[in-house]
Amino acid sequence: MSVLSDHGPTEGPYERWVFSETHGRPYAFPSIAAGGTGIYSALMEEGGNPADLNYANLRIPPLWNPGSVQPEITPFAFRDAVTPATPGAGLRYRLNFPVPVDTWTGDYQKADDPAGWAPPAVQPSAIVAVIDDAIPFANRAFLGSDGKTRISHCWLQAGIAVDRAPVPLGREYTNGAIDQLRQDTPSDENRLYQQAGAVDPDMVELGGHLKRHGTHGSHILGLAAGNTSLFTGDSQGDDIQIIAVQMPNTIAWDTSGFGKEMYMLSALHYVFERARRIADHFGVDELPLIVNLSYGWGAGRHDGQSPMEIAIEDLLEKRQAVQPKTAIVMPMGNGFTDKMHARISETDFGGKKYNIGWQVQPDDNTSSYLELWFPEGFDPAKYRLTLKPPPGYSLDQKAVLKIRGSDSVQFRDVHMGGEVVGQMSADHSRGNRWRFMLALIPSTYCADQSRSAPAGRWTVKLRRKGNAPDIPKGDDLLIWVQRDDDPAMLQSRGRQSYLVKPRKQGSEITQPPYQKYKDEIPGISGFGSMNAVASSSRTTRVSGYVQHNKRPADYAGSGRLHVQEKQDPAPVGAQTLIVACSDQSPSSPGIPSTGVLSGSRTRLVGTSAAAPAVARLMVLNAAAGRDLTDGLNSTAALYRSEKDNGNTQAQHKARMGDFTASPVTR
Amino acid sequence: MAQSGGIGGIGGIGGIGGIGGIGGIGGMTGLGGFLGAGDTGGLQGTAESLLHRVGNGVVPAGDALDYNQTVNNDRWAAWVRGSLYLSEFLSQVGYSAGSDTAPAITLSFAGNDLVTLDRPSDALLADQCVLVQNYADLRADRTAEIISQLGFPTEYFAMILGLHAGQHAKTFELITVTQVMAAHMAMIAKHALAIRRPDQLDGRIQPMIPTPGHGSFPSAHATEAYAVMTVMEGLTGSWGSFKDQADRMKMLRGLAERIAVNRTVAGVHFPIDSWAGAALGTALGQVVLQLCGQAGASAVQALQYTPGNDDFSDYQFTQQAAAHGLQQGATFSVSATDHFSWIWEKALAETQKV
Repeated sequence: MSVLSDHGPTEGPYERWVFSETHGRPYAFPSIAAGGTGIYSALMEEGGNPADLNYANLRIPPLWNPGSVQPEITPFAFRDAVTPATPGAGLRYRLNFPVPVDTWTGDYQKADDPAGWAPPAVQPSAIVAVIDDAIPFANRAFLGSDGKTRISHCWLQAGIAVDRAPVPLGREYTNGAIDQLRQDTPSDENRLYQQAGAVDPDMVELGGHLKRHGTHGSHILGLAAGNTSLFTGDSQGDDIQIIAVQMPNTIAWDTSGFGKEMYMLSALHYVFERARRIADHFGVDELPLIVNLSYGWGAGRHDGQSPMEIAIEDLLEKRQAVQPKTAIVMPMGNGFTDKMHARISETDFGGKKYNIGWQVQPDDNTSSYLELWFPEGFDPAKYRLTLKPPPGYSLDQKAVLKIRGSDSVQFRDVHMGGEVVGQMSADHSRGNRWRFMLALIPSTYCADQSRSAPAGRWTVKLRRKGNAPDIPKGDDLLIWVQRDDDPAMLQSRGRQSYLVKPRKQGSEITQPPYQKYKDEIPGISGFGSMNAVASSSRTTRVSGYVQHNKRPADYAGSGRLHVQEKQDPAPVGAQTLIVACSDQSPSSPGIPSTGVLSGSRTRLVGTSAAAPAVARLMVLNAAAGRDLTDGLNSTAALYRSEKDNGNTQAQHKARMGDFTASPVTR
Repeated sequence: MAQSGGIGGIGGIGGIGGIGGIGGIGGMTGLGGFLGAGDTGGLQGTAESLLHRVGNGVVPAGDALDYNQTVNNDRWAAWVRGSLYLSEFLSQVGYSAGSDTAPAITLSFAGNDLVTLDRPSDALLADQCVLVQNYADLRADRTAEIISQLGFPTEYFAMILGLHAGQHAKTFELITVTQVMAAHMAMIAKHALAIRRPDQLDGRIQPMIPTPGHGSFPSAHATEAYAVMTVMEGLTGSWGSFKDQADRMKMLRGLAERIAVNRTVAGVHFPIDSWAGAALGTALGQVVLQLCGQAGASAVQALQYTPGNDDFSDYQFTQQAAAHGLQQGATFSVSATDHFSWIWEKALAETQKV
């Protein structure tokens, strides 16, 4: 771990928590808990070049960087090495998840042609790409009219590596390789995936996902790019090629958001770069490209300035300059009703103090996180945060966090019975915005540890001095609880903590359930609950509606509204652009799409399924030479049971966006 | 192997329903739910109140039923036919256990070695537990399917072969006969080899269904599934009626594999149990075809299985058997028997004529 301690990586609150044995490490993803693999993934920020670190065994994945301009954020990976004699001075980077040893390519040759790639029979008019988990790349839903797969390139980031390849880690399958696999195993796709090394129960990052009937990835890829009888409207012709990336299971195991950026960002670069290669083969400029990334997490800046969001904006800005029909489609998230977001205005603060409950559930086997963000440029030096355990418990010392001195990252540990159960931190994100963060260990004794954090109602107290600055008018302090569940049933055994309103505020006005848009938006509300990776201004943000009534799906994430007295709520920051169907009926069965094996189908509930429906329509538009949003309907009318006023219209707009996409599945 | 009597059968069809209960009413006979099916009774009071209406004359002699002919089989209650099949079959079954230093069981039929299964070592069973743990990932996916396959999963074969209760009563009976014979053979092997279930070795496995009260190796579900698959391959081939016969056989084979693997997903079987069961079931299915006197049935291929730490898949079972410890022995033929031939002809007449 010499690299960790000597130089290089920044130590943000998540890094300190996740990589420290006395803090959160024992509860982290298995390969981290086990002490790492000796191979690290990482992100270089602020335009730095990882190569300048002079690490002996450092790899930069295929990048799409026209003109060789260094991207704002560069993903890279390196094998644990002795610190070089001349490390890159001042170069700081953000450590991500460990890379499994078996996925480390023997000889990474970036410039090689991907083995077995065959030029598509017709020149593509557009490319659709999906970055997800468990990609069923051999499914016949992705075959062209000639019986050959339309999946031009597919990168399994946690695939078992080969001796020499143009990917630094994992395994790349090209169209030729996929067709050969299909030919070799004509009637047994289970065996195909086994044979291809796409299933490996011994490696947790790959696992047996593709043995399942349906996966998130099978559903998303089907919606975005599949041709089966499930789908309505135009089918995708041979002129729409597909690029896919399967992220490691690590990505879905830890839902907190920490440590995944390298895999996500290198997936985006891979898609862009391979799209470039396809265009190069045909001697044409960049082709229209629609990327679906149905992934995200809950807590973060939500202002487009997180590393992933900066990177996405950077990629989109540069590619749209040469090919305007370039889009990255992302879901708004599914946390609208999960009580994971709160906003605190000057009025809410009510003078010198503000309390909010943080309910930690019993039997939570993973760490819980809460982030409190101050407005950009706001100085919280005269604010302090206190964390109080549930009634009946006491901490060894009172847990109070306040900013002392000029350090841009400050920590305070929370102890019970002489052991660390939590961490409080303040950090100045990108030097322009302060965040207070809380981390708690699991609420159950697990991972051979002699400590646990009590389940129950923790209280988060914010205090300020009399001369502290007010919260700016028109803005709020914002709280997000990080996602902590197990959507892909990967046995993380996480349980979701949530916010509970301060008792003092009394009960909310009760309104009938047929009015989804309330007269008063409570402090803890889903407005602002959106995906924390989707705030880049150029991202195509998609939320979900219910087909039978054209109302927002209850869970569908939304942009933020600032509530002000005697005025209608005002949208702040990134908002939903398009809504697509994510449920067909009131019983919320989601929508159907393809399962893993050819001919199978599966259902998925959530905005993850709404986004690829939009990607599907966009790529069809692009291939036909139309505008990407061609054929989309305007915002659906306010439902008849809602009141019709400025307040409800503002909420309706925040939830239903600017466009409504028609359902693409039967 | 049915562990819950009555679940396996096609409920109420031609008196076959409930045959699954090998361990149930029938006890050692294996007749299960055959018993009582079709029996009728009367009300004595009614009978006696009617006798005064007729005289005391002599009883006219009737025409005799055919003597010792299977033509009468349709007259017998289903459980009686079950008894007849069982008698024909088990009278030819034998087994011998190997020495303590070379523990194995050899099941024989009509004096020929049929299948030899070497007893897995304790160390191998411990290694296999890891594979069983891995398969637990699929439990959420397959819960409904696994629960519905606690007994004989006949419906699943029917699904692929377009079988219907009204049209294929005798085909269902042939399937049931095959399953019952397979279960008996598996029980003999399970008894002799006496292999613990995965959950007794590894407390983390925690099966999702009750662990049956018999040994783990070989899997009776695998034995039954592969036996039925083999017999149905023969029957539908003789039918010659499916235009997509080849595709159906691919799916039938995939089904047999899936039924076997589902028991590992459930946490009650090791993958090597499926290997042993598939071997036994395949050989036994060939025996059934020969007992049926199926014209052109290939000879029975004797098999020997020496388990290693392998996962189970039909591909490896059919394509890479030798590399995974499955060796072929001698081939032999078996004479057709009356009752098996009878049910075969009846089932053959149920051809789909697609």
